[in-house]
Amino acid sequence: MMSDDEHPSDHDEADAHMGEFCIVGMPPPTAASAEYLSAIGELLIEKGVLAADEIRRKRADIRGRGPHLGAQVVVRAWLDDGFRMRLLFDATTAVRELGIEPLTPSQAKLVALENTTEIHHVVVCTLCSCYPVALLGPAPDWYRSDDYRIRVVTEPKAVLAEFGLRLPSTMRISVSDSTAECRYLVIPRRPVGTEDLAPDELEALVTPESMVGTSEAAAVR
Amino acid sequence: MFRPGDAVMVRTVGPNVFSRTPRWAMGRIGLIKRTWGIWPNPDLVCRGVRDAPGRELHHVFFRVDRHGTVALTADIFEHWLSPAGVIPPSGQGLAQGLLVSGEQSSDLPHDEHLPHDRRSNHDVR
Repeated sequence: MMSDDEHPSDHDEADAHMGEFCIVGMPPPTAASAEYLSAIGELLIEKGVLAADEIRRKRADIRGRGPHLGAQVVVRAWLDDGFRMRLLFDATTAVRELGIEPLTPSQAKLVALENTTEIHHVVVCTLCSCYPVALLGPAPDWYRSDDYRIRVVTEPKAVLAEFGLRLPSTMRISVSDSTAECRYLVIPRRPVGTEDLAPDELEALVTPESMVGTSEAAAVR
Repeated sequence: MFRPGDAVMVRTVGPNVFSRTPRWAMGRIGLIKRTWGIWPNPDLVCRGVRDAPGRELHHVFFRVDRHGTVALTADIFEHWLSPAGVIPPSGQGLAQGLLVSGEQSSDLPHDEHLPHDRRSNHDVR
């Protein structure tokens, strides 16, 4: 599943116009920042910190990551109670059952937070933009924004309401600040009326936002 | 050094010190909920220290509103924490809200992972 697919893609072709180095998932760099990035990349290679091939492989790996992986994990947890237990106990190990490996082995700790009728989890990184990239791909712009990072820890209910998420007043809210070695994946609640859906139909309901906790899984149409 | 259920206070440092301990948590009292094991001390890693000695990393819970409906959590290294003593009776709601509720069951697969002695203490009070 996590193949180091290095066939040229649209992204690779786009990157070719920006020079050899870019930050995957970030907006295209300006001419000045591209030059800066290239200089850092060349220095890292020159000093023997990284090989050019390592950089290329890592970029290819990150491109293969995206919310479709997180959705597989969530749906498996909905359908398989044993997997759900293992996921909540040790998500790093559990997701390997689905063939999902960490991006960086030394920073591999993954933690699953399950939303219930009593508690709603939402995730932020107030320091920068730590995100479960291995499962969701690069973080979206709103997740990196100062506005979200500052406000979700001071007025989480208001922020969630702006995302269109209105929770019952009795619902407890837990905001997890991803400050160190752990990356958090929210397991949204399974929408009602989905008993007859196939796994791939369920996966379509699991939005990236629902795995960060700024929305619930989509309702069945 | 610390165990799940321990009350801890987060150290405060001046504004010019870089740390991965979030500013919002500094000076706050929270409860250790889980412990994530030993990781290289980021305060040394960020200064270029190779093979920085490991420090224990804790998942700490903070209640931020009077009713206990909103909580914040952060992962904080042990050297940023000091013991905050026994939670006074007025803090009972804090302890109960964080340790004895659906919160735990949502995070851990089985109740037996809860610290039993603490759970029964709260039940008695």
